Amino acid sequence: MSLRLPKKPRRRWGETLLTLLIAAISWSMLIALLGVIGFLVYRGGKVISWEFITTSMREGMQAGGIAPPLVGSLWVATLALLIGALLGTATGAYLSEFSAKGRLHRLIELLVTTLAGIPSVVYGLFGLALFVVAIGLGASILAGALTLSLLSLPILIRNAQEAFSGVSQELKLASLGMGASPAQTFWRITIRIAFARLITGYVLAMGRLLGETAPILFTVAAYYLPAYPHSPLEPTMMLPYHLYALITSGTNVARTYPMAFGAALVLVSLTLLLTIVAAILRFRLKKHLHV
Amino acid sequence: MTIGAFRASALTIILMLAGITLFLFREGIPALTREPFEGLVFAVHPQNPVQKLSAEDCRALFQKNLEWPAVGGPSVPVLPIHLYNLERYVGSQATPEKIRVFLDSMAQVPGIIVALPRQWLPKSLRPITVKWSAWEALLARVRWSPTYEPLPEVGIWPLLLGSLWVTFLGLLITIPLGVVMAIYTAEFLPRSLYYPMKVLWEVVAGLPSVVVGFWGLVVLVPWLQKAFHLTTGETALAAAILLGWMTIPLMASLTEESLSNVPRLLVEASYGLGATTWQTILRVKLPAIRASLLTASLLSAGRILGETMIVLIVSGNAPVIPTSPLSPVRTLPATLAAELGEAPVGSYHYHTLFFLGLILFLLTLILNILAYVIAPSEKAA
Repeated sequence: MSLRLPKKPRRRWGETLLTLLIAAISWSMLIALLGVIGFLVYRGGKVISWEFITTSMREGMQAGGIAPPLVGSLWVATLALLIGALLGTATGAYLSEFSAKGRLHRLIELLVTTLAGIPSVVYGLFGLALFVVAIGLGASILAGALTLSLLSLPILIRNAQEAFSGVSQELKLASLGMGASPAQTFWRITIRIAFARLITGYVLAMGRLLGETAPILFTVAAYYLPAYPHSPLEPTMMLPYHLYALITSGTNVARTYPMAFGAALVLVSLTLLLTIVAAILRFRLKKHLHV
Repeated sequence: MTIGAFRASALTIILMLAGITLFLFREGIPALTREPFEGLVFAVHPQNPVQKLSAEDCRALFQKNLEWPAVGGPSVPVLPIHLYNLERYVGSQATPEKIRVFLDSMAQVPGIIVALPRQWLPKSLRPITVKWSAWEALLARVRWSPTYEPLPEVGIWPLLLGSLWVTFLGLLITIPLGVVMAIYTAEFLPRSLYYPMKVLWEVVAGLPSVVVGFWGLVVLVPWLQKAFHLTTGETALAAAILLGWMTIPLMASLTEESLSNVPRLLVEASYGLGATTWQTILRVKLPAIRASLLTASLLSAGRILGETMIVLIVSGNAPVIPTSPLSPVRTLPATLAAELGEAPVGSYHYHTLFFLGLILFLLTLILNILAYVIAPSEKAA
């Protein structure tokens, strides 16, 4: 009995078509994104100038620049990042390097996952009830920064965990083998190698924080306050809320909408810039360190 | 020292969730135990035989939607007076003396019903009790107008159903598109484009929602209005499209991750049996990751459910029970964002909003815990 060779497989046109279809769908994401950003650039580009970014609002909100909300946003987001990074990195280090992988570890992991899923507006409620009312900070930069730092914790913890556990085990063991204590190993070896990845995470978190609106509504943001804050206990305008105010409460749409497009473009550019910087950092890390 | 500090910071995470839960309950529970008309006394003319009114009847009397005979009162027209319509009768500049004289003269009208602070109550009127059942007000009523005086309407159904409706519609976009993009990225995308695709997802997921909402308001809403011949394009559909789009990256990256973790053995066995790439994807890989598909869907649902600004900007914000994708809706988070700034701290409205926040928190908590419980069962397989 002779061996029968299988026929040459037919080309399956249905499958090729399906592949093309899902490729088209996947890349339409890019087209949609470019559509959104292109539209904002088209409408907002005309408004943006050095003056727009560096001067205060005039005539209600119908003219002038966006400097106070921009400065306010940067203040709050930076302060929030400082607090969040400190707490998040320490927690990430504990989970990745020091905790016994027991029940407590699993509980904290579950809580971090849970916290990541809580809507940002609920953080806003919590911030209002705790920082603004119970502690008595009032609507202030500090109250908003604390609220936002809690919001950013899950991302920062995850990031720190990945950064620390990404450091190769050999290095850590070699250090321990030389007689260094776990704490020495952490400060001299682990955190130095993980440093670049940590920074990447901070940049990414900063991008997210700048765009958050719901948590700042009740904790910091002033509707109209064309002045720069002098202390963390003062309220301030913030860019996302300012944009929202421009969109919804303008009586003279013909004059407020151009301002809104300008503000939207600045906000998007900031978050986009930070996201892309983080992406490039991470990409270069991947190439250089196969950790 | 180092380790102790790190452990302490990890323990604050536990404190934090406990704190969030505690404060939401602390501020939300008074919506069930307190009455919206604390400090007010309801009273009628002494010859009016009515002793007791349900909150609904009382509200209807104040709205003049109900006549006295319907609740066992005299056949006279209703004259409702409360703190907030006083101004209409006496003007905004009235002195306390003038208000008192006015109230005393009104107290002679047989059809009067008042809701006033005790010190303002004319002596001749007879107080009555108004029965307020918090559960009934929150769960058995279908209207939301929490600032209506003196008896607000705080039925949560329009908001809850609005939220669920938008989430459902959003998932109809997120799940299929997310899975398709995950398949493409995991199976067909050239390796050199893999990282750019991931960055693209990150960028979309990281767009500030207020900006996406603004874009929706200016571009998508007018387009929907024209396409469906609507009076306004601010609909559940507009919100769902934008929310669904923004959540695709979450769905896609979770799915993509689990697709590339399908055991090689399974995949190679499938190819070895002569299956094509697509047969392997549809009959081997997707069934193998069905638990993580469910997890990813639950997490996406949680994300959509909690999104605030987009819905606030493009969904029309009408607190009515949605009947079609083209009805305007108002969701739980949008209500919080829109009203909390105006509700005085400690007022009934404030507590009601925290009660809504509590519901939202519990819903997302359940979704997340479900996702967490389902997820690991598959890693073991």
